[in-house]
Amino acid sequence: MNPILITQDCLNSEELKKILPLHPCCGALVQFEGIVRDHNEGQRVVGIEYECFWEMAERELEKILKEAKKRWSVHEVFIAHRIGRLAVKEVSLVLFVLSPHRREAFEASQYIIDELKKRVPIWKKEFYEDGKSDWIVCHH
Amino acid sequence: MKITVLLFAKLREILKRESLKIELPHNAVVADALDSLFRDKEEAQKMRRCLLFAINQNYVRPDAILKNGDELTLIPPVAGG
Repeated sequence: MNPILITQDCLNSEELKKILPLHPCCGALVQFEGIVRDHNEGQRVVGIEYECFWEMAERELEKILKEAKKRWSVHEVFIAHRIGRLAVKEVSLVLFVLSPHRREAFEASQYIIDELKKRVPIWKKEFYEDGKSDWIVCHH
Repeated sequence: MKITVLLFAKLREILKRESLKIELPHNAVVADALDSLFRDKEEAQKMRRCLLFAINQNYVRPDAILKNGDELTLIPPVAGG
C-alpha cells in the first residue's frame, strides 16, 4: 500500500479506508478529514485552490510519516491530500493512523497534521464572496 | 554557474514565471540568488522575509552554498491541510 496520495480527484474516506490493512494487535484507528469551511478570519470563503510542489511534498510527507512511526507505535498510516480547486464542504485531507492503543494513534495523527502544515510545500488560495482572493498563511 | 529557480503561489504570480535559470558566481549562496532575482522587483522583495528555501528539494538556510546545476525552490508560507 502506498501510504501517500496527492491527487486532484475527490477524496472518499470510505473507499480509501478499504486499502488500509488492519492488524489484529491494533485496537485504535484514528481517521481525520480536513474539510473546506466557509469562513476564515472574518471573511466568507466560497472556495479554495491548492497548489503543490508534488515531488517535494511527497518527500516531506514521507519524512513526516517516518518520524511519526519512530516516535509512536504506529503500524499503518495513510495520508491523502487533494490539490486543485475545492468547494466548501469538500474534503481536502484524509489521514488514517492505526496503532495498538488510542493515545499513540491520537498523538501521531496530531503530529502528522501539525508537521504537514509547517513543512509540506502545498499552498492555499482562498476565494471570497466579494470576488477577491488571497494566498493564505497557515496559523492553525 | 547556472541554477534553476522554481517559483510557486504568490511569488509565481508576482514574477509571472514558474521557473527560470539564472547565472551566479561560484560559491554564491541562496541570499545571492535572491538579490539577483528580486533586483528592481519591490513586490517580490517584500516577500523575502517570509520565504523558506530548498535546494534539490531539501530545506536549507539562506547562507547555503549553491552549486552548478542546483534546483533552488523559493517557498512562500505553506498552508496545506
